[in-house]
Amino acid sequence: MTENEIHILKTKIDNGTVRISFFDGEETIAKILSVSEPEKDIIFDVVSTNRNDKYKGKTGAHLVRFDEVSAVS
Amino acid sequence: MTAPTAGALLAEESGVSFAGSGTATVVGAGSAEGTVRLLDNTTAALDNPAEGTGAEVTADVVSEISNTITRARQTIGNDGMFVSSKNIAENVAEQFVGDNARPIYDRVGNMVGKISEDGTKIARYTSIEKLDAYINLENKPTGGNLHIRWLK
Repeated sequence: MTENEIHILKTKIDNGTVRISFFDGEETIAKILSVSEPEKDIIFDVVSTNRNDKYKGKTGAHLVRFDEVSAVS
Repeated sequence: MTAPTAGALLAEESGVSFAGSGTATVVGAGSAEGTVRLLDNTTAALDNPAEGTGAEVTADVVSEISNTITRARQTIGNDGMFVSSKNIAENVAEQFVGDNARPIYDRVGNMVGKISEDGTKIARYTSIEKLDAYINLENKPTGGNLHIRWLK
């Protein structure tokens, strides 16, 4: 992830939604809960996704590492 | 008439009272929270302390948990500290995010943390298996980011 993408994510913490593209092909609209540069991860709630199967039955939040994200917009 | 137990005497002297299995009430000066809950495995460990009396261990544990939670809630910016055991760190993390906290899952479905019901406090367990293991407690309102490591 680029510094600009990290900046975008930080501006979206508890403030609207962002589109996250993952290297495995998943595209998710997410509500950002936390972005940690020291931990290199993002914590988010899923608003919508093309991989519903991945989140089925999980009512919690989700964590993804920076190196699993291909793009943020 | 039943004589008071060593644990009761110690609790009275230390200002810590115990309110049954799994809970302990801190009444001494300097405590930030009225009640400290203990995880089930902590209670079990206290029933069978490795050394010394259970009461001594319990008073120390309750005090350490209470003080660490206070520090986590007051931390501003990045900070780190040691506690005496992994179990203490886990207790603190549970208390930090509070009741009704939601689990946080990684990409393969492992539970790797918890977020408080209001979303302001996060406990990350993602580094709990590392060589330099720690639990990360994030306090969004203060910008606090506390790494809790343990001695054993």
